Amino acid sequence: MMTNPRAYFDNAATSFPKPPEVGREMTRYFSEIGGTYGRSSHGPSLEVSRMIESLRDRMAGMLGTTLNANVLFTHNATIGLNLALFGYLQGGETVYTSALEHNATMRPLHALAQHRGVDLRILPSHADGSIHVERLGEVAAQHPKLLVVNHVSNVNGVIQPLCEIHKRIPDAVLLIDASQSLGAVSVRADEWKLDALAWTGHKSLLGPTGVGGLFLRDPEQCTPLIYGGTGSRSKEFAMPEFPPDRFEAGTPNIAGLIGLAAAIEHVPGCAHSNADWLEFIGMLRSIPGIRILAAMDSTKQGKVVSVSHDTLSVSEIGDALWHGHGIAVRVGLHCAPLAHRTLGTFPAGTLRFSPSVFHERSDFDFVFRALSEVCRQ
Amino acid sequence: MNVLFLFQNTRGVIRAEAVCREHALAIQVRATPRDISSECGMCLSVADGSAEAVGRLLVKEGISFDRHVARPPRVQFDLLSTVEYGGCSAKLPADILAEALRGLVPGADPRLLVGVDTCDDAGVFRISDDQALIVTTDFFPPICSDAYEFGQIAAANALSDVFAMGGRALLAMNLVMFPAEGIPYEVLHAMLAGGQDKVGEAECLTVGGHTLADYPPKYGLAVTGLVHPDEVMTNALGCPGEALILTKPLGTGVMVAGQRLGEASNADYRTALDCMKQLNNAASRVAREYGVRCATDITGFGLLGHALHMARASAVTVEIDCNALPVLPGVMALLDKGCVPGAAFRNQTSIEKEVVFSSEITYENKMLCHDPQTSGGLLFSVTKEAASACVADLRVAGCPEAAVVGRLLQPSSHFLYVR
Repeated sequence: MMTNPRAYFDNAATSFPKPPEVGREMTRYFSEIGGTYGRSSHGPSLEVSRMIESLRDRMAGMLGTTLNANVLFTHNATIGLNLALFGYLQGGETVYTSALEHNATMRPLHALAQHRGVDLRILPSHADGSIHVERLGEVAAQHPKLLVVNHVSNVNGVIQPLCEIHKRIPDAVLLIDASQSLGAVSVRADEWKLDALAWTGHKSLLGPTGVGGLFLRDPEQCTPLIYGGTGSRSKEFAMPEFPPDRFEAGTPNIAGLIGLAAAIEHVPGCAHSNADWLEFIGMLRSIPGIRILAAMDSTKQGKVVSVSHDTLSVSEIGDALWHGHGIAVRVGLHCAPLAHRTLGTFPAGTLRFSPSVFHERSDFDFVFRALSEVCRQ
Repeated sequence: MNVLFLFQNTRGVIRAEAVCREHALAIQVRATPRDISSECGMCLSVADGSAEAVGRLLVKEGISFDRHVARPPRVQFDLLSTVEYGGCSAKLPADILAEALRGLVPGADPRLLVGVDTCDDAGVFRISDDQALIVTTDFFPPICSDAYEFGQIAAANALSDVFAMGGRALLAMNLVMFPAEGIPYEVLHAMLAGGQDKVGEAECLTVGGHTLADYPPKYGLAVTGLVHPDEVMTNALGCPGEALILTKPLGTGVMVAGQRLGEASNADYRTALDCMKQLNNAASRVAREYGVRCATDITGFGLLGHALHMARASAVTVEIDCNALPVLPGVMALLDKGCVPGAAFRNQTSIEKEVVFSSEITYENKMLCHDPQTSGGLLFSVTKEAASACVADLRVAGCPEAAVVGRLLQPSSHFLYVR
């Protein structure tokens, strides 16, 4: 099958297409370079180690931190979130999450609530799930140990005001899920005093699946999730105390990291403007029977939007878009039942459009016409 | 000696490597020696001279490290894997060389006491009534596996030309051809260390040298020596009636070939290596004490090749007593098995018109006489009355195999007789 990039609107799940250099560099690793990370001093392994450490430095720059060694590589954002949650929460702590969390956060927290007695609460929010900043004082008074905030919602695209949170709850560990934001929205980890941030490589960063990471401001306060070989302190059974080794046991996804490095070296310019995107959302509102799930304040709108319909189920619409027009979208709960409860779309779910940087204005028009047609039938 | 910088993890090594390269500091990433640490498997190796600059830079960049002095190299690299013919076997055949030099006029000067016409081991140039300079050079590809030993042998061989002229070695310059990649640079260090040790043993000073990126490696010295103009030993001052003395046993070429073929015993091979490492300075001193004026050293052209130079230059016939030749242990057995280096055949071809072998001389003995020597002994003539005392003194002076191996005769139909 050859996927039509013009009609692929499921980039919040995983982006398509990737810059051609991604596949090219991964193939070069498989067929020409070889070697592993940090285990040997021979040429291939030295070269791989250089590439991965160079990527770590680049990622630190993208995350807005100067603590480069604290940028850890994982296989995806979910593992990064699990690492932070199980690493920070030893039992009995109070934890707040935003009202738009993904199950990558909610399921580990649910398990921690069950097994370690973690007290799980939801941050006050507006109707679109955005954090009610003025009410954060109430939260601070509860002295939570940790806050988890999904930077950009994977359901309605709301961008949370990260820079406001630390000012109001300075004593809590602030953990960010940047799965939908890194590569699409500015992230300033040092400036915003973020304590931990999980990210993934295969969405807006346009890299391959299987690579992601976690930034930890104070790694000594977090225990490792995975234990194993690191190529350092090899005579000891205990994990090394220093980052990144402490959290990077086992051979990393080298080909994936090389692909990610190629992706961030070859970022394409965005083929549409933000105004094009917001106009598209406005046009969707004009379709009879369609309800839009988006940010109330359009300046807080990320590159994700959901819709539901008064009479048609989202699965019917999704099927019709794919089979009738070749348009790929995602329907359902998007692994975010909490967000749907907040937005009143649980359990029916929504149909989600998530564009890529390769989309032009005309592609939005194409989707609008197709959805209009589907909804007329 | 190199300094090793160790880091706690891979990131430390890679960052340190990057900042050092940014600042044009020469470093190399190497496996951390197991006897130093089992921390991170990699470290930076830095030449002693740049270690302080590297340390300062790493501190400035906030990269923590441990510093260790590298142990002497334990890199095992077989230098013989780089060559087909090593040592003096790599010489151009004498007849080809003569052809190539034909018509080249080297110039003349009354102060030049020994020039190129007598095929001597070095040039000798009078700089005052009581001093003359000896100038010579010699270098060749590896003769043995170990770099340090190769350095020792190459230096002993190059220094020998000065001793063969009756002089004392004064100054040495290294001549180094070594590939920029492919052989660990510790091997080069070991080679130079071996050479330096021999230069020091000869009470000579190293004053520099020249290096070229080249493969296979080659090493040797250009040496300047001093001699009194009246004590210069040359090929040309032999007189009929004198006895010929050889100071080291023959057979290094056969032994090296035997080692390559796996036929030589380790003990015999070690004896041959030790023989090649031995300086000819003590032998030269004894020769001076006996007023010797006609001498050469035995190298790539073999005993007969160098004896021929002597016969021609002195206008005498040289007679070799084959039964008297000192031979390295194991060599005759190797010859018996057909272990003959290719250069011996080339030597044979070059001089066969000039030599007459008695009918009872065996093939093995003939090839021994043609065997190319690397860092061989001195061959010199002394009055026959003094010969046995001279041999006795040589044996005391560290040449236990020294022997009278022949004599100089009035010129006859051939330059060389072997009986």
